[in-house]
Amino acid sequence: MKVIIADDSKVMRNIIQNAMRPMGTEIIQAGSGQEVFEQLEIHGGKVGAIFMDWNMPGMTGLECLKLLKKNEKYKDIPVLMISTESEDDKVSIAREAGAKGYLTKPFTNEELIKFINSSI
Amino acid sequence: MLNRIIAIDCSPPVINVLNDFLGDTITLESLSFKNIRELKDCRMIILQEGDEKPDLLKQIRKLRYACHFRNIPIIVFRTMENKGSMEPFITAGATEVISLQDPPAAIRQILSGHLIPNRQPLKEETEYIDSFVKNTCAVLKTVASLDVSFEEVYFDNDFKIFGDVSGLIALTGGAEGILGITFYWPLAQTIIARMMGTDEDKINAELIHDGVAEIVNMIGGTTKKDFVGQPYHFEISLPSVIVGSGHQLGHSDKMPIAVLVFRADSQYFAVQICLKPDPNGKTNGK
Amino acid sequence: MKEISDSLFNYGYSVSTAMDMRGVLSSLSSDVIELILCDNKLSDVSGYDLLHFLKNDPLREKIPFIFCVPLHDQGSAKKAFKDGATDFIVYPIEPGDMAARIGEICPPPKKDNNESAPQPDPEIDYSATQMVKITNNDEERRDAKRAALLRILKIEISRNGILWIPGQIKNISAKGMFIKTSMLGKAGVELYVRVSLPSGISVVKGSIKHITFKNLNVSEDAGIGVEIEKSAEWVDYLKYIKSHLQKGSTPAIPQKVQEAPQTMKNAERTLFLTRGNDDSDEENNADKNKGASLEKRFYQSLIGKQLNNYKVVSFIGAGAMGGVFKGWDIALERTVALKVISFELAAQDKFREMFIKEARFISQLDHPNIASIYHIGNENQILYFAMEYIEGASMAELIKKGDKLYSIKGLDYLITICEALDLVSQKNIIHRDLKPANIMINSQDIVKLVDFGVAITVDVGEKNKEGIVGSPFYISPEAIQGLPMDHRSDIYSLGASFYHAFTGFAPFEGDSAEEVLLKHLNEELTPLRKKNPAISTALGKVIEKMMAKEPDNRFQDYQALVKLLKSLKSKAAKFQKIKNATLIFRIKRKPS
Ligand SMILES: [Mg+2]
Repeated sequence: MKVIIADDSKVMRNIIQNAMRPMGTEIIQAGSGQEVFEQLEIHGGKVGAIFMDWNMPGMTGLECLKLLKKNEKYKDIPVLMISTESEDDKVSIAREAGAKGYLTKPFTNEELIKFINSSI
Repeated sequence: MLNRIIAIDCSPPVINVLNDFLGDTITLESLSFKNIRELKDCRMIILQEGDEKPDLLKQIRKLRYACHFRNIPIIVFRTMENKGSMEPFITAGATEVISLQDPPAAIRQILSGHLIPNRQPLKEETEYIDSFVKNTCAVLKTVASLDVSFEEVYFDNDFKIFGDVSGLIALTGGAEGILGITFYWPLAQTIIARMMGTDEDKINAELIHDGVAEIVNMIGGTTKKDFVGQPYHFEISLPSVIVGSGHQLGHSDKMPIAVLVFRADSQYFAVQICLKPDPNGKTNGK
Repeated sequence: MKEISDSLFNYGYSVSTAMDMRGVLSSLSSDVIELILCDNKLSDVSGYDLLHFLKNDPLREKIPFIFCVPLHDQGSAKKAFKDGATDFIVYPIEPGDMAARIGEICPPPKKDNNESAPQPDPEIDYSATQMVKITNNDEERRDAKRAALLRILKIEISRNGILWIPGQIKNISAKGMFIKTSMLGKAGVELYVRVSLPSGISVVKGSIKHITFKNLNVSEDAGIGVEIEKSAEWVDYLKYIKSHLQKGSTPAIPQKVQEAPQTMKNAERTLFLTRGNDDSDEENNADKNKGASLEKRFYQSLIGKQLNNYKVVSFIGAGAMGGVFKGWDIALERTVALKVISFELAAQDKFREMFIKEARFISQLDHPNIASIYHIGNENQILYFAMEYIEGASMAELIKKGDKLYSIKGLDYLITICEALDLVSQKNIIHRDLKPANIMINSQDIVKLVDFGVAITVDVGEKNKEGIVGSPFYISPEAIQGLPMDHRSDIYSLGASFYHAFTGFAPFEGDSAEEVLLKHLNEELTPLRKKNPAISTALGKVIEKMMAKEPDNRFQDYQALVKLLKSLKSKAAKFQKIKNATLIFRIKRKPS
């Protein structure tokens, strides 16, 4: 299975990637919303899940999520938000837009692994 | 109260000026740079410019570093007739550059001003400072398993940065202001390595810049959650990274800038906040 | 020295000359200088000072610096080298030897016959400093020119439009620029770039394309590539740079903010001119500016401190006698205004007394429209007092904002101030510095009179030895002349302040404080209606009478003035009611 990790922070992408290493999934990194679409194009949409940051330059994670849900090809890919946006109303906005899960930063490694396991 | 002033390699004219106004309550210790051991209980550091001191800027930088982000004024006395810009001294970490030719009354008042003790936060300032303190400790504990203790807070009206790498984030929408975190290189490297679960030598400048930005992002993000429904609630923007030391990022007469000093083992870092509450915001408890 | 510059010229160098440090700095900013040859004595500073200065300037420290000193007065080579000099040449010296030593550091360009290097100006026959610049051919010269131009084009960048950090353009194209700066970020983030044009400061918007830095924690050579959004400002800026590259001239170093001429700024401030010593030659001005900077630095040192029971929270402004801060009283738990005496005045007993006297005056004036005083204190030789804090704006700020003060509200302010000043005059006190900046209006719309810093009692006023005290825009003729003063001087200044408030113009304007002062003495006042037709003749007349040149021709006391103003107000209020209009003081005649 392939998974996209979208976050503008390379450190954060690597942290998430490290946590997933034991699961043997193929990781694709994306630094922005635009890159998510580029990577989906390259991989023909065959992606099992997208871990999505909210605050990214250019297209934000939320905008990207909304566009994905509107897109016939990609609307069924589960999107899991991982973000510092942590207020309740932010979480519900993302949920309403179609996010399947939500993890707020900061998180411990255990919390991350638990989140990953419960969502894929 | 700390009443020790250290005069480093100062000539008799400077020492005389200091003795003239300091009185009995304050002890003046005259030292040479290489004999400085401890800045802990020091109220003020005095240096003197001179022809034979090519290392003065380097000394200022070292002293500023040794102050561990605390608000210890470093005053440079100039004795040379012709003066270039005082900018290099300020950039290196000096608080004030005074000329021996300046009116004695001015010298006395400026030094007196710097000797007055720092104030503690106002009640309304405590409201937001407490949250930032709590969340700074929590974020570093969570992501890097780092135990961090809050040391002290003081206020400034310049947004100055002395450190190697800083993450800066603008606070907008509702309350407005700026949040910054500043590290010296070794601590930043340690923290990012621990965050990523790898060795420190694998951490390069790019990762440090990136990681410091992400840390300030997380501190801002968790803190704004605490302020939901209050005038201090804000939104965060994308972080910037400032490299190097001695930057003066802005000046605010109206809103003081709170400088929070933290310690992690034997290393220190600072969080700076300038936060103007939303004038139309709901008050605490509605 | 002419021989040296001529001989270097013959060896293929092009040479700029300068007599003093200023000349050196201006050449450095307008030309590509590759090497500096300097005597140990310039006409303003010593060669060592210049060297020291340049070596501390990050943009110039790399330019090789050669001392060239006369045999009989060599100075110290050791000191020169220690400060960063590259070589130390003693003359007289054979031109060939000189060229060889310079050539070691900075080889001459190949001689090109088609190229006529610029001739050194034959008028300048003696020069203490010589700078060698090298030009090979047209193209290289253009590149060098470009590099020189870019080197001085300082800009500022910001993410939020509030905090700005300096940057330097390293390269520029129609698409954007590469900026050397300490503020990095991430590709894609948006930012603002503040550039300087002859017409003023422009802000263009862009986004980071790429970031470069050495693998070090220092800002050396760090920078960002920024793509700039197309905008009229950006097109203007590109044009501006292009025109300078073509002309081959360099623009003046961009200014940061355009400030009002110093003299006019002074006209808004309170003057302290001592009679017999009011010549303001350049040196005096420089001293004053330096004093102001020291004063400001003193005030800065107090921010974030605690004076006895008072926390110093933020800086509000500088007044006639000292700096004013917002403070917090930890004992009584309330916000206060802290007034701290300026160092210049603190050093003189006369002014310390005056400062304490101000506190005493205010404490006598128990009136709801006069800011009251709470405490006077002295900590670490810093004299200060705590007084009522007024949350609001001064009338000066309202005027600046363009608030329409020619309204019933404005008239109300005037009446209230007159009533407060009535009490002041009964105590035989003259404020002496009435001006819009000293009339505060708080958030409940209540007017408060502040700053009795230069107030005196009438009997002292008769001696009046201090010379001119007051703000040029609002000062009374008798104050300017140093004549005995009484409360009618305050009536004049109050009239002038409300002239400004009602019309939006100060009664007399000019390019300098002196000019304004002369007009107070000699020029007839322009009727208010000429400046603002919305003001009724009757109200205009009141202000004009307040501002009569002769105190005897003004209102003689506040009671008469208040009575008249109140009747005007009730008329205006009636009219407003009928017409349901916002307020026009002037009652228009009905067209018949
Ligand atoms: Mg992010």
